[in-house]
Amino acid sequence: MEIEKNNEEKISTLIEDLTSLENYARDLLYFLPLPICLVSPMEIILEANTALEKISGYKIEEIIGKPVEDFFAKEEIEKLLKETREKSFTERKEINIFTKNKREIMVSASTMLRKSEGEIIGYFLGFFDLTEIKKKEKELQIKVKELEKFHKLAVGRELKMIELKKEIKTLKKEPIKGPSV
Amino acid sequence: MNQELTKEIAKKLMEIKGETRGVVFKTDTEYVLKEKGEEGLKKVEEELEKLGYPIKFKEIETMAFYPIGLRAISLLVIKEVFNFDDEKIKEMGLFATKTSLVIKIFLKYFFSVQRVFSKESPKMWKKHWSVGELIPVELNEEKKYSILIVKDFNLHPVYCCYLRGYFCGIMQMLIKSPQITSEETKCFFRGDEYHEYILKWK
Repeated sequence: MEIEKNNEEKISTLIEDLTSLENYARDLLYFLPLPICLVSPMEIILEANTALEKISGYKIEEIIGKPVEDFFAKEEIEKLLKETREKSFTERKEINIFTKNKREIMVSASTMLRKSEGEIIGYFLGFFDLTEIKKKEKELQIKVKELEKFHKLAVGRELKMIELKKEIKTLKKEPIKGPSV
Repeated sequence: MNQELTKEIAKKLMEIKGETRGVVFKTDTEYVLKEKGEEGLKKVEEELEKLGYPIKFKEIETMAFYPIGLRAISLLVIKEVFNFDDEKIKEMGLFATKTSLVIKIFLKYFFSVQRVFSKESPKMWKKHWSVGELIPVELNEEKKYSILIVKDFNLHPVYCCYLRGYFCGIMQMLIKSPQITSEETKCFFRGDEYHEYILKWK
């Protein structure tokens, strides 16, 4: 009787602990601002977080169960997963995500291979949205071009000024030839 | 509510022997929240209380055990409160596979259709229910169909519909196909000995 009671208490504690762990994992997954997903060896998405929902425009229930090639260019994602299989992980690889409203978003992808008892059981994929960085990069490129143009103009003007100054100096040295009276 | 679910029916459902894991209420909660928001969930809780079987959905423990009848009652109340048709109930089942913690435990086996179908699916059932049995009958990857049997599990016809969606959801996570359909070819509530489902994909 006593043993039975003890076992019941242990089970109840375990269930409470599991619930706490579940809540912790869920909160963390939902809070995480970086889009992540778990992909099966058959290249089907098995898990995703709200950040992936936001970036892709699909709801979680639409993402889970979809083949990865619905979100990425087939060759690009296959290359990424192949490299993951070879090295167990990859870091900061640029890849495009296809969104629900037919947009392409460039992201930096990092991946990790999941294995169990020597068998590949999936891939973790994490993304960093490069949209803002790429936008800033473009803006910077435009600014650099403008600066180059300005620099060219400014330097040209400066050289002209130096030339003029030299001319003035030479002219000053020469005796003033007034009109003959 | 159209009072399809009376106190008497609820009482009878509660007399069914067996237990279910809290995860089934959790997935219902997420579906209702997604479709109808907090207000919707409150409505369901109010109706359950009126029936005499209150459930505080947010206090449910995923891995704890609850009376099996409560699962049917909860589903029937959701169906009636929101006037859900069979398609919507099927959608609830499909949605559950995408959010269920119990399914996540099995994700490590989703590298092989054969493995999940023959070895893991009966275990998945046992992780959810203390009664009944899921028997994988046939998986034909070439002809693109599979057959499953659910035995000694006669909760309510609403659950037959729910399972159609549930099985489709699992198949979606195993097979790349634009369309997966399910049909209940045999049903205890139609006079058969057990429930039989056939899943087909393109």
